[in-house]
Amino acid sequence: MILASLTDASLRRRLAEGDLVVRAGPFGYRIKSTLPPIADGLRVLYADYPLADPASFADFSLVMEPGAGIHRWWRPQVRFSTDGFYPFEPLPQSHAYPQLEWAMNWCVSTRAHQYLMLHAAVVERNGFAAVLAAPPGSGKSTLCAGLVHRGWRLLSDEIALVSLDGASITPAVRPISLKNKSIEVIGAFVPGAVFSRTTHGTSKGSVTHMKIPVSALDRMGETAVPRWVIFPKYVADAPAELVQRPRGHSVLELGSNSFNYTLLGLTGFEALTALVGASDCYQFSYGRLDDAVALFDRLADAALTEAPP
Amino acid sequence: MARWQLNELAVLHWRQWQDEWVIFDESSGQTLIADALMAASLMALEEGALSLTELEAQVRDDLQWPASEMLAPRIVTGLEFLSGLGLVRAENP
Repeated sequence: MILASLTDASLRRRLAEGDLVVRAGPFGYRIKSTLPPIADGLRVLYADYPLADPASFADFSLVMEPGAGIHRWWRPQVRFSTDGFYPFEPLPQSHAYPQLEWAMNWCVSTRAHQYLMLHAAVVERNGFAAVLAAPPGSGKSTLCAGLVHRGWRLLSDEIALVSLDGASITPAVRPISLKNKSIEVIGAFVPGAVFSRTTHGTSKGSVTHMKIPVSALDRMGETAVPRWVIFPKYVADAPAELVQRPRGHSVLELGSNSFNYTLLGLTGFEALTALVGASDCYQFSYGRLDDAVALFDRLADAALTEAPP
Repeated sequence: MARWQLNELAVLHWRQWQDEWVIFDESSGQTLIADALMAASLMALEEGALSLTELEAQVRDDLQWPASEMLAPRIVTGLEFLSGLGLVRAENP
C-alpha cells in the first residue's frame, strides 16, 4: 500500500492517531500530527512511498503538535517531539512541514549508528555512487536535484548512509531540500517538478522540498558501490570542471562533516578510509546545471571501462 | 638531551595514499594528516623514545634523505605540532 491510496480522510485519521508509518529506505517513520500542513506536505511529497502496517515497528516516532501555552492564541507554533523528548524550540506553525523533514533528518542522524553517516548527497549511475559533500549554500542539493532528473538515481539528499565496511551506500530516498535561488533554478531545469509549498522566513531562508522520481523509490532496497567523492561548488558562469583532490584531505573533510564519525571511533575511521580508498576524489565547480550533468554523465560512462582505484 | 616519546595511551592506525598519511589515534579519537617527514617521525617514536639526534638519523635513513639537507628544524616543527595534539612529548632525563 502506498500513501496515495489513502483517502484524505483516512490519511488525516491515521496521522491524528499516530498510525501512519512511512517507509523510506531502511527506515520506518511513524508520524503523528493534526496539523493540516503536515498532511498536505506528505500527500504531495510521499504519495508513492510504501506504508507499513500501523501496528508494525517503526524506527522513529515523530509527533508534530501545536504549541501549548498562551502563545498559541496569536502566534501559533509547532513543536516536535520524539519518544517524549522535545529537542528543539517551537517554531511558527507555518514552518510545520519543513520542520517535519528536519526532524526526520535529526532522528536518523542521532540514532542510525549502524551506518557511518556523512552530511552529503548521494546519486548513482551504472551501479556506481557519487558522494556529493559540501557545506550548505555550495549548490550540493541543486546539483543533486538536477542529476536525479537526468538519469541518475537518488540515494540521499542530506545523509549518506555508508556501511561500516565502507563498501556500500544504502538509499535514504527522501524529498530533496531546496532553498532560496535554487528553487527557481530547479523549477526551470525540471519542467513539471513537484514541490511542497515554499516556506519563507526560516533560519535557512525560503525553503521547499521536491518530490523525487518514483524510479528511486522502486529501488530503495538496492545499495550502490562508492566510486567518487565529489566536493561541488556553484560558481556563477564558471565552466564545469573536475580537479583531482588528495584522498587524505578528503578523509578529513568528510570526517568533519559526518554526524557520527567521532562517535564510531576506529570503526568510523575504517569505514571512511575504505570509502575514500575506493573512490576518486574531486573538487567540482559548475555554473550551469546542463554542463554539470554532461560532465557527470561522462564520468559514469568512463567508469564502465576503467578499473576502480 | 630531551628524549621524545609517543604518548603511552596513543594507539595509532595508519592509511597512506601517495605522499599523504592519515593517522587515527584510537585513544583520543583524533584524525590527522601527515607528510612523509611527520609520518616517519611518528612511526619512529612508535618504536620507542628517541633524542632529536637519534630521531633525525632514523628518519633520514628511513626516507633516504640526502645528508646535505638539514632535517632537524623540520622534524622539530612536526614534533611541536604533534605535541600540541598530545600525541608526543619531550622528557628530560
